[in-house]
Amino acid sequence: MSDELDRELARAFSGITAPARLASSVMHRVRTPAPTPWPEVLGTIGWMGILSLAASVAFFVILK
Amino acid sequence: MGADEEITSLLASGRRTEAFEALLTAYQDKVFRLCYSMLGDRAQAEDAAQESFLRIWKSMERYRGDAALGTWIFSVTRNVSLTAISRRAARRSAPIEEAERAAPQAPSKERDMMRLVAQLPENYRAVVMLFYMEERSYEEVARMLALPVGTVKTHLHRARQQLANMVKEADSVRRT
Repeated sequence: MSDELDRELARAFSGITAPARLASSVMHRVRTPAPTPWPEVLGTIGWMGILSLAASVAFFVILK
Repeated sequence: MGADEEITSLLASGRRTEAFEALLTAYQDKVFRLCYSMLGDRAQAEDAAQESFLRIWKSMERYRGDAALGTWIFSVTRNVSLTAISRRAARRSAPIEEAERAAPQAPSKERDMMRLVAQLPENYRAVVMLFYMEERSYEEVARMLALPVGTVKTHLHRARQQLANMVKEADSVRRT
């Protein structure tokens, strides 16, 4: 039984290799520059805008 | 010069892309097999292998040769696979049975064996699959899974016992 099991396991799992496209997909992703994270960039600009508006309002309130 | 030495010397001379290409060629099968043995599914293993190589690419400049190249690569791969396992558990989806996906190609005995192996506990399954994928080398399995060789032998022994019982059970069900 043990020998037969051994043979069946070998038959099921030996010779398994990576898919042929793996290397080319990886190289493609490595060579393609990461896209600009626009939502984060816009978010940062938005927060900066809100903060500077709040600062100007506070400045004028204090001046009054 | 061995592949690892070639890769580290390319890295040391600042030829990062060439070093990475050499690394990819040398390790693609091993990284894929490690992912496949841990995840039990070819498609998920391919995604995890891609992710592992991208992480390796990003952190390659920081590799100083403190650990052997293979040890470092396998540790990145194990971490990526473990993250994929926990993500899968969070989605509550069972591992997609490889045999079911590959049904047209795999003869039924192999399919049965894959299905039985998929039912083993995760650590046993990884050891069994890697052992047969890596030409029955206890040492290589131990290196890839970062386990002592003794543990690999014990896991393999217990997994074979469980499989033998499962085969017996499946045969008796088939006969009735």
